[in-house]
Amino acid sequence: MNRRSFLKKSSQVGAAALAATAFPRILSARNRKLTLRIVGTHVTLQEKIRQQAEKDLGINIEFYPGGSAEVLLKASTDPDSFDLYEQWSNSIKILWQARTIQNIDINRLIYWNEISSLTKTGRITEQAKLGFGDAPYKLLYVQPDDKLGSTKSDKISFLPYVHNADSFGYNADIIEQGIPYTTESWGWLLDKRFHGKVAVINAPTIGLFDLALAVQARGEMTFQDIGNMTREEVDQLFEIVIAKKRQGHFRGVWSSVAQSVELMSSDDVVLQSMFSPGVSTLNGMGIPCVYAAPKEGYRAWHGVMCLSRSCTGKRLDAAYAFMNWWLSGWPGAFIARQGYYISNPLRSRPFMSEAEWDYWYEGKPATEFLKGTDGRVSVQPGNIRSGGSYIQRFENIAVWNTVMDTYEYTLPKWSEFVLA
Amino acid sequence: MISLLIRKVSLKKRIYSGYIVTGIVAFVIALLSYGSLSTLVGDFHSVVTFSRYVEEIMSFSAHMSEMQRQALIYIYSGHNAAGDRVGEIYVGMLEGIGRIQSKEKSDTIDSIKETEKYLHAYYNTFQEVRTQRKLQQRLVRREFRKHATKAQLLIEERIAALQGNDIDRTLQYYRMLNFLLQIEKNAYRYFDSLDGSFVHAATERIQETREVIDILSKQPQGNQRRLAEIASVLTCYESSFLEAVQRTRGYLYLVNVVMSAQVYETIYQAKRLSSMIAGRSEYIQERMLENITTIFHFLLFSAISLLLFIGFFSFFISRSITVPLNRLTQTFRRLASGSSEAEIPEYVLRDELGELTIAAGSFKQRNIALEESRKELKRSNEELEQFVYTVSHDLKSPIVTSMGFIGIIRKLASQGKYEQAVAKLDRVASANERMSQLIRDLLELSRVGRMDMAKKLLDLNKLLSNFAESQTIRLRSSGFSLLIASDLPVIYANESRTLQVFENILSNTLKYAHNEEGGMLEIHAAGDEDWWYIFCKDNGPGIPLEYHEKIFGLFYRLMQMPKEPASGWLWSKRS
Amino acid sequence: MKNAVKESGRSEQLLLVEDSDDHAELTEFHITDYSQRIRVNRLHDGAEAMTYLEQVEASPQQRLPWLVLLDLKLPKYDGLEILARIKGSDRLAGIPVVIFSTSNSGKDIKRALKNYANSYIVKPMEADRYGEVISEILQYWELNQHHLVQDTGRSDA
Repeated sequence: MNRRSFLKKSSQVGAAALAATAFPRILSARNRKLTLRIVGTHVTLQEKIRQQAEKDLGINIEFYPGGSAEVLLKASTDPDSFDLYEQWSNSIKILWQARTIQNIDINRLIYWNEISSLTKTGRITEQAKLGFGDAPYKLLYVQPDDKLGSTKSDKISFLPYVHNADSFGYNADIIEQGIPYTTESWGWLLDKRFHGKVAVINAPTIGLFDLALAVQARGEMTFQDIGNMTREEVDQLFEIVIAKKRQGHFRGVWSSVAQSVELMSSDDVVLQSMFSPGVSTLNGMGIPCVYAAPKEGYRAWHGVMCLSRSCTGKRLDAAYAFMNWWLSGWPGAFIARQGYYISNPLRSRPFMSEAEWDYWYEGKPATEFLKGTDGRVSVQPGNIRSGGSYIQRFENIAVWNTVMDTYEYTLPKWSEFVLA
Repeated sequence: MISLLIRKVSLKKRIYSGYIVTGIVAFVIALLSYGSLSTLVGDFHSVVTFSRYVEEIMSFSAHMSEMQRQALIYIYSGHNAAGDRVGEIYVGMLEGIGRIQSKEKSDTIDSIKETEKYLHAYYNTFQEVRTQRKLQQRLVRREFRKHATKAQLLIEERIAALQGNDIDRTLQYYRMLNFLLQIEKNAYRYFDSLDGSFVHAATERIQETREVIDILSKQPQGNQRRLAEIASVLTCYESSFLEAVQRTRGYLYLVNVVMSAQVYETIYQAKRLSSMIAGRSEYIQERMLENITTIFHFLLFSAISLLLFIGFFSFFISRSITVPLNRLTQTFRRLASGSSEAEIPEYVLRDELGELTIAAGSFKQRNIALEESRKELKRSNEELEQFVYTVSHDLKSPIVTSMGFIGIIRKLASQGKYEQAVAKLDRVASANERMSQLIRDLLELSRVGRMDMAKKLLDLNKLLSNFAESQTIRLRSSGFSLLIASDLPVIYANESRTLQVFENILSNTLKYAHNEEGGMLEIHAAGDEDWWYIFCKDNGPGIPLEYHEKIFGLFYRLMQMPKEPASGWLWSKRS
Repeated sequence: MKNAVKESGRSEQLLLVEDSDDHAELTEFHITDYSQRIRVNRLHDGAEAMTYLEQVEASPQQRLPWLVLLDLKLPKYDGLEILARIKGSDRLAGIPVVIFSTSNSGKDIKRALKNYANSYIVKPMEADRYGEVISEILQYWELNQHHLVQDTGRSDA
């Protein structure tokens, strides 16, 4: 039994099980052509996922994918325009503050108990680093005073699901490959050797930390709390990086995964902030983009699925069904092929081949050609996922993507950096 | 080459071919120059166009920066004019891109499209920013204010209703009013400073207000309905504030992050495009420079080589004319000096030089004829002189004789020797007779000299057989026989003179060639390439070898024989 | 001495080379008329003259002719050839040769003188002049002493 047929079979089994037991009401909902509106980014709002979900859940699903800022603005200002919102943990503060989302009842989540401790306690293992910034566990639980905190409760602000540990990628054709966690360093972002060939992601809540980690790694400055910089620290950081940019150190910033791929494949850039699908795509194109495992640790992000404040009744039921579906196995396996992790990996394991599991989660060498979600080979036999296993990667979190208190202050600074 | 030209190409054609070749060469040079120069001109146009593009594209960067500046002015100060200016610059830039796009080539079109794409994205983002900002302004200026005022009115109403009776509750309401004031203050501080801590402070105050409402509503005498109304207004107040905050954050994000990146990318693409075009322009300029050098060298080389070619060609042409012309001149110079030996150069073509050559040939023929006639004249003069000399001698001789004898006769007569004297008279008479015979001969000779000289083809066989027949009697009487060969030629000559030659020869033979066995004259002929030789042979004593030349002299005779005209010998030489 | 021939009493030989019998008769008549002692040896043509001269040349004992009267126009060898023969010979060169010809052409005269002719006399065409000319020639050559050269040569031998 090859992987494909196994997957197909597994997903059919899974879907049948879900349809028969968990969602009897949803079936009737489909008859009334209930439509679930989901706003989010391209990371999770993929057509294949939508089709699979429609098929498995028997409801109509509409995806409204957009840029991070765009969807955040939509979600934070217009709760009537969506039922579910999928983005990063760094949008939770804003959404919660904007009061456009409602809390989620963990009792309605079938797989809650399977959710890993990473989200629940902040540490995937006992010895794991906590990571600076808005670690998801700090924002997960709704406290009695309606604030978000790490103290457990039955209400949570988001459904933990997709997450990953990001770093920078570099073209091993041009840059000699480093040793994970040893020589690979965020400091490379500012290394003079790569002058003019460096890019960072165009997002102050993400790219800012790449730069901060780089500056810190090079010992040019230190932060009291890299996850919540003071205005002075922001000033100092930007002073350094703007000067660097003025010298022409940076090719620029990228605003989409496609652009990051284009930058590296066109040789404009040899080293830049990367997302996992970008790395996969480049590898599929034959460009040996190495996803670094910086010794300072990863910059992690956590996907969040939030319920609109306006979502009620049958729509709310469907939304819960969709959330449960996401943790039911198939979607986790699907996004694993793009390098993302799911909060309850074991549920997805049956939907993956042994080789896939070993490569993506265990950090073992690939034993066969592994295909991405686009059907193209993205992993060659013998390849090893950089940074090692899921556990190892998430034990080394330097910082989480975060909306700092000085968010508004960083914006014009960021603009200055971009235009410098 | 020269000899080939002379042999194959006529003079006119040679001269024309010279013109044509020169013309072609000049045309080729002109054509090559034109071709090379038109490439250069094309390149030059490209360079000019490129520099215009580069200028235009470089202006994009300035325009982009200005747009962003105007956008920021709009965002932070709210000047609508600045917002409108963004649109104007955008339209201007689109036109500029259109201008380049309409003329550009494919290798830069991607860059242009990229630039245009970013520009579009930028403007769309800006439109979104304007929308967000308008919404924010509406929230801040209208909704937020409206809810704040409403909440304030409701609270003040409650204070008024209490009329200072319940100090504790009144104070709580005053606390609420104070909170509201602080909320508003923090909110406006946030919108002014964009410091997130003010949002935090405002929401804290909202929360505190809620707590106050909670406390008040727990009191039995509290007006639940009113408090619920206040709470609801507070919620609206809060949500409009938070929405305004999010909208603010939204457009700030758009301007500072999204639009900045788009501006940067547009500028970057424009720079890349301009450097690409500049690079191409530079390449073309280098090529131009190279071309100029190459063309210069090429033209110099081709001009020199073509001029050399023309030079050689015209040299050959002129040599082909002058060489035979010089030869002809030499020939004519010699011919003019009367030479009949001048060599006529070989020249086969019937062109002008050919005509000249032929003329030289005729000239030479004339010279030869002249020479011959001159020789002829000299010979005839000599002959005449000899003739006159001979005649004068032959005429004088009888006079000397007769006068001498007359003198003797007189002397004898004076001595009385009359008989002797008379006897000498015979001598005088015979001398005079001889003289009169001489005079007759001379008359005969002059008659012969005036004879018709017309020539025609003569069959000697026929002529001589007739001649032999006419001499039959004469031959028989003198016992001579005449043997004539049968293979005599046909010659071109005067009939009567030719006949006379044979008559004279026969007469001489009959006169001198006596043989006891009977005389004989034999006539036969032999020929080489140029001449026929007619041989006449008798069986007489012959002429000793040493006298062979002398016998052709006029009146020459070898023996003391009776005087006879020897004209026969004269003719025999001439024939 | 007025007349060598007459006074010596010797008979002198005069060589007359003349093809015309008439002219020879005239000349001989006048010579005889002038002096009986002059013996005329007449030769008829060039060939005869040549033969005689060679014979004289070859015989040293034989007396040389006293005077030669030489016509120019002769069969076989002409007078100039005879003259050249005489004047080209050591033995004969001393003999005075008088060209006696009808020709008064300058060319003939010049050629004769060039060949060392001692005199050139044109045969006269006047009736009585022939005898006078002969007489004068003889008189003149009697005054000349050319024969002494010949005698000396002979006596030396």
